[in-house]
Amino acid sequence: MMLDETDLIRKAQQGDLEAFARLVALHQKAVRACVAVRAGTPHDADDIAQEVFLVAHRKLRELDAGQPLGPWLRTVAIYLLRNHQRKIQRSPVSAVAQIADLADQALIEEPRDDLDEARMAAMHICLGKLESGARDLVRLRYEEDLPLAEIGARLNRKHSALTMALHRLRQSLRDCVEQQLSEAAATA
Amino acid sequence: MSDATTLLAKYFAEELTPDEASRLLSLCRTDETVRNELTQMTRTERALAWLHQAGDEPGFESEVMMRIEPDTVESAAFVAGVLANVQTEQTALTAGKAGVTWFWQRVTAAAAAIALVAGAGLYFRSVGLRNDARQIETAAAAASEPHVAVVTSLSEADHTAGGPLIVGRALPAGEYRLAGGRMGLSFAGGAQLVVEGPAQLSLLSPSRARLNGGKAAAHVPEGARGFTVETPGVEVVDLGTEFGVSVGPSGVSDVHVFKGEVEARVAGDESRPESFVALNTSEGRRFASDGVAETTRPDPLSFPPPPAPAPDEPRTTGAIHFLRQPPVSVETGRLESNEFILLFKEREAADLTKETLVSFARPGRYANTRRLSAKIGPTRQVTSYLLHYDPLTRPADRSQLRREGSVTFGTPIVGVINKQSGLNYTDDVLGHPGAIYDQSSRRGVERNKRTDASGDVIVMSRDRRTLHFNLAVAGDLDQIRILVRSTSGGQGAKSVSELPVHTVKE
Repeated sequence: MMLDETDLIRKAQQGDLEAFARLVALHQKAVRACVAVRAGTPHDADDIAQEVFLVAHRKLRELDAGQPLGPWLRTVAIYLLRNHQRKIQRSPVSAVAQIADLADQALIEEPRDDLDEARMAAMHICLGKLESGARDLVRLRYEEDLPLAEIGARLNRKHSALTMALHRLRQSLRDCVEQQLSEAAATA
Repeated sequence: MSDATTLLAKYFAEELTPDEASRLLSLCRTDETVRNELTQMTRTERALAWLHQAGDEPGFESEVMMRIEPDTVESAAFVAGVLANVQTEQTALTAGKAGVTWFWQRVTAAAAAIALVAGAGLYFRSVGLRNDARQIETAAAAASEPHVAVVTSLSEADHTAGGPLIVGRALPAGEYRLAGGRMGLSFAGGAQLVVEGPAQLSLLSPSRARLNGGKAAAHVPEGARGFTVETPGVEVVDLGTEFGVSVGPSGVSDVHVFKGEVEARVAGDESRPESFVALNTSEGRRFASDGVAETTRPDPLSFPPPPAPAPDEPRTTGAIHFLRQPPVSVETGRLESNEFILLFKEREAADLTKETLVSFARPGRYANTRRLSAKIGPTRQVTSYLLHYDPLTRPADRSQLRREGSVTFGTPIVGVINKQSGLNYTDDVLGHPGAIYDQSSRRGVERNKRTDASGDVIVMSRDRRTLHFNLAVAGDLDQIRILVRSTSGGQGAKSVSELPVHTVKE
């Protein structure tokens, strides 16, 4: 039988590890999605996301069991992301690193919503809608992890055209995600 | 097209010249529209990277739990049990709503509406894949028959059918004949069985075997409860125990419980409750070939001793199985299995006479660590173990199958080596003198090209006794050498905190 979240939190506060494992299972997708768009690499992201739950476990007793866990975990995540960002800022920094820092800062400090998980899901749907040429391009870049020069050679396309094609693809995926979200909000 | 758009396109393609980078930076600082565009595109870029590289990495929950409560063997087994429960629940929920995974049960209203058109896919593969039965099934479809047990020891064993038996070989379901000697088996479900020849044994599933002749004894740890041995007349279901079973030439079956409890019932006939016999510690019973219980009590000494782990033996969970004898060869392709990660002791109380480089020596989570970043020794006596995982093939659908398991040692772990050069360098001193190592093939843990994602993950517990492994079924050989403090000898008496461990500069 599934317990509701309040019961699980209460049990976890009393040291019930099984209850805590269930809370981790319930919230991991949301926490990982939140961290994934704000940490530099996917590898850092899962490290930080795990840290979120470790902190949560240590601080669990301070939580009011009636309070929803999601927003609290997001607060912890943002706090850890700030620390992480501070740690990786190096000096002297290259202009490229400073640009990345600007983006990180904006993402970490933007008004908090609970849509990261929904955005990730929407992105998944949007990827499914791509026509085959675009899908190949996405696969070579993000799954095979190839530099643009090699993708160009494989697809027999000019390098400069490819740079812009990828950029347009990202833009259209982003538009698609926003559209999915607003459609979903309208039907909800 | 605006200058800013071109610069952003080049930024995400990692192709900005220093001059262009400065220009984009100053645009981002002065123009809010550009800065906002950068932010939103970064979000998109990272979501794409994550979905393709880490989005379906399983093992997240078990790693969290390992990092929380790593202290004892019991806790490792407990955590495995908890996660199995949680996953079963999730799978049940998934099954209940076609096309909608458990994940959707709790997302926001906005996402829930999307979910109805989504179905399961890339992002959510991990949910289903964590169900081990499905993993085995998928791997089997892609590779060959799944393995149900692995040979952990052989003493004067002489086999006549069922393929060559060597220590470390994983066996698919099928019939095996042992002409003489003893063979130890570790089942995928966790039960340990020792068979004494002459014997005929059919492996039926990860938690079920059939003895058609000969003698066997089982040690069934908590997590493997329900392990069943059938004979022509009777079915012995374990309820947490050590028991012996033998089948005589006339089909008479003897059962003896060394410790715990079993339930013996007529094979295939649950309509006869009177034929149910519960047996407790030190109790035994003979069953006629039709399953009817007789009054004769078998002699406990007529069974081989149950294969309980030795006190100093590392405790394993999940897909990791401890070999009680070292294999003859751990070269690529010799001991292949998608299901079984093997562990064996290489060298007892070896002296580290010089400083040895290891991949890591402290508690924490290590993903794809390839650099040898810590030093241990000299002056230490260590006992070395090798973890060996040689998957048959990567599944044809390129799905990211994973295998998980943990190992807990009686003494603290002093170092872990998962890099090829480190393994090659220490084979002479720490490798098993009788085993053949392949120094030319790739044998460390693999990594992805640009990022460190979707590779192998190792977690060392805070008390330094437990390592948790989450390895990709990727077709490549993974070998990891684990050094633990030696229990014997005065030199091993220092506490771990006194160990000279220091980080090496890059």
